[in-house]
Amino acid sequence: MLQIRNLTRRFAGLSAVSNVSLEVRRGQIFGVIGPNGAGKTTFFNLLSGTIPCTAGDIIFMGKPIRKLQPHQIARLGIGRTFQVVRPFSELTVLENVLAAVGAQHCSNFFSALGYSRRRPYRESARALLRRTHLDRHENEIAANLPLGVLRRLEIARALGLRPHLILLDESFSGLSHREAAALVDLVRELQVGGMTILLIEHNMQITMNLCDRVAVLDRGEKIAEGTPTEIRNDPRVMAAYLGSDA
Amino acid sequence: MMKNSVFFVFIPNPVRGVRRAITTVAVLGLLLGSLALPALAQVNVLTQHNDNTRSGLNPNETLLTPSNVNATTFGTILSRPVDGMIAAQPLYVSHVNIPGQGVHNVVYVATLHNSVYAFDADNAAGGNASPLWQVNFLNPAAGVTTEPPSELGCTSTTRLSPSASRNCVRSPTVAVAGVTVTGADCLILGGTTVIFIALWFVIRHTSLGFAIRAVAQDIETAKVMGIDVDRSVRAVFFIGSAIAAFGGIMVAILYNAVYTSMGDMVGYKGLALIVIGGFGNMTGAVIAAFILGISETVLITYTDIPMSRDGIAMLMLVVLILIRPQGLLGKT
Amino acid sequence: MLDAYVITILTLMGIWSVVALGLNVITGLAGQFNLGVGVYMGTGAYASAMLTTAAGFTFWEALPCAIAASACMGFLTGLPALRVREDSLAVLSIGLVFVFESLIIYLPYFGGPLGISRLPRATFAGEPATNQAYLLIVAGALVASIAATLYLRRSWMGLAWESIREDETAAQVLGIDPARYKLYAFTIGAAFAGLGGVLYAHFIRFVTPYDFGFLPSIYVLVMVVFGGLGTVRGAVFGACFLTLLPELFRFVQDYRNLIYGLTLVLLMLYQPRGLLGDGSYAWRAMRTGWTRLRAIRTTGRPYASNP
Repeated sequence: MLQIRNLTRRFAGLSAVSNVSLEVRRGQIFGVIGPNGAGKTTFFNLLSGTIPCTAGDIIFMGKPIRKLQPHQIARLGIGRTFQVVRPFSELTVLENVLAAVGAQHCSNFFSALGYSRRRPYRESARALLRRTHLDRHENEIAANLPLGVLRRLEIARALGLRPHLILLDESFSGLSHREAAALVDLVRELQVGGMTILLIEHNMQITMNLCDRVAVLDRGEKIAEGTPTEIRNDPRVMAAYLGSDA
Repeated sequence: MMKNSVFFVFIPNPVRGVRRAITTVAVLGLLLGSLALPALAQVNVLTQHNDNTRSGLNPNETLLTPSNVNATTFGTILSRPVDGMIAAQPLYVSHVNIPGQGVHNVVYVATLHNSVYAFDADNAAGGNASPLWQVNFLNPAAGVTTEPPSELGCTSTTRLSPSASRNCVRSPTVAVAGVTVTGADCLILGGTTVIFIALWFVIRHTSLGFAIRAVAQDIETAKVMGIDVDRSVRAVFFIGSAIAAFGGIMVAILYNAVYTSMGDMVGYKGLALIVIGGFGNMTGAVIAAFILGISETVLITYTDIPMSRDGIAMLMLVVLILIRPQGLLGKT
Repeated sequence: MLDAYVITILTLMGIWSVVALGLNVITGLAGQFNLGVGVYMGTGAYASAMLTTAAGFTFWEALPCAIAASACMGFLTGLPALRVREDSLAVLSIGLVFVFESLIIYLPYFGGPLGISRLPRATFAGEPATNQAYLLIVAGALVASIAATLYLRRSWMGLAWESIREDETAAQVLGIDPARYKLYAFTIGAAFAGLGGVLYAHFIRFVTPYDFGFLPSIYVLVMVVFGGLGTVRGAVFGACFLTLLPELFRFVQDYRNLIYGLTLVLLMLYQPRGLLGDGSYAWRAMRTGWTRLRAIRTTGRPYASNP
């Protein structure tokens, strides 16, 4: 589904991401972990097109997407959330999701002039809110909501695109135990429904439980890849996290 | 959106300082109000339509009433010949002391033939038969002409300032490479250099400068680190205003005039220069200022672009922003 | 009928409301900070002026052409706006309005600093419109503009604009192309402002470059922000109120700019959302009042009872 070859991103001499190669199969939950500053979010930014690549290839469902604009990549079917939530603060929760739902349908000037809160769009948006347990907050302004709700909103919004692949950037951080458990269930549901998921996470427990495969990044390079068990026992991974005299 | 970056009027402690704010405003209002008190008994017409709102209203009219403005008691007193059509509004100042000619009430007229006349406003007899003075600015050799085909010379009405003093002080001059450099020029260049070095030193090498830079990056973190944010902001306003004041004084000396709107264009250009230099980058702003100043002067002197000096400056700014949107020395 | 002075004030209020609505689309809805709406108003006004004087068009023939010209100008000025960051957009728009004003003054086609005069009146029911009839034309244009803006807000276009305004990066990863929608905003907003310009030109019947320069652009921005940026009610209220204010307070004529500046400062400190903006005191008071009113009519009691 997703093939990444030698992906590199340099910022003025410093390599934030360097020669990373991965392959993600359809329907997998693939984790990306690593110490802070390893370049994980930069890696996601490269995948979603938010920043341009210096070198390497990204092939998504057979199409090279390296040179595309972020909105084009989104329309091809890659959705993402952000490490620091970025909701549309002045809009309601429903409108936040409607924005994603409508983006799919309206692509030229005339369709853009169509009424946005049409019943079918509203119903799809509401269904997504129910799925992420946000239906209570439907008409609340995003700026007033707590972090846990906003994380779910980001996911609901990303789902509005009906993506084939979704990138979750630390979606579990800042959540309470209960909220995290609910989110784990949601992610599993998505996988059952056929979605491929790439996630960045710091919480080892969640990562090991949820992911089928894990890759470890350190200082921009991929230092290990395998099943959660393999990774847990890999000395290089431990060295990266704990320092080499561990 | 804009998120406070442009609209944020950063007055320290806005909530607690309500009384402070109102007091400051009231004091400012009083100062400005007292400056504008009409000093002369007779009403002068110093600018187009009497005031800066161009209203035409004369609130101090005492002589004319609806009963005496009629065909029998109101009409032309006198007419004077001039050398061209008049598009600018004639202006009136009372009790002007004209050296060698005594005190007159004067009507100033500017014509499309690039002449300015001063006539006595009350009568045309005896010594007042000819203009009190007149001057013509046409000088084809220096490039001062009227606009063909319809002869457009002085079209706009100026503003007369009875209280601005006219100094005819000759400042010392020096000839450098074929260009005359006056004392004022040296003072400007020297003063600016000193200020820039001092500013760079303060920002880079003092704790105040450090505090300022920290606050610029992230106010919350700076507070947590124990930096006095209010003091930094006050210092910034103080220093910035002082430097701007120095600039204003230099302009006043250079052009020998002060007027309330003299800072407008400079302000707009300054705002643009900050952006072009790369936000927050002092060196970039200075470089951009030099580029702007030099190219503006070169373009207006040696080319025929159909724009005013300020228009060309703004065009340069637009072009520079577009060429390097992150600023000359800004980071991508 | 109404006194001529009142008609003039009402007509001006209407004209500035239309322009304010245009700026509201660009800056309020789409978040593109624009200090140069004078460019679009001026394009509309001058296009109509030139078509009706030099090319013999009537008001109604020139109107759509002038609006199209402003829309094009909006598009053209929107292109450079795509390239610059948010903060630089303000400066870019300042630069553009000064360049525009300067070109209009110095290029030979536009009548120079003296502008274009003796514009014909609009025709209303076959004859040149009186000021009262013109007021009706302006009122019609205002109603149409309000309806159009309200519709745009509820349309997908409006939602895309608001997404871009809130967070451009987040909008991008949802598949919204910011460049396309920004250009739409500039074009449509400029069209409204151009309409205002045409109405202005044929009301005053005399256009000069100084009518559409930096200062008038700032006045319009102040109107929109004063009323409540991003809201239709705010733009119209701000325009009407700030057109009326100098008339009500003639005695502060020389200090008009002082009052303006002061108002803006105080407003930004205490009601940054504008007087009728979404979070403002006045608007919330109105909404609470309205809710209570409805509650009284349905249940007979002003407050809902809590179980």
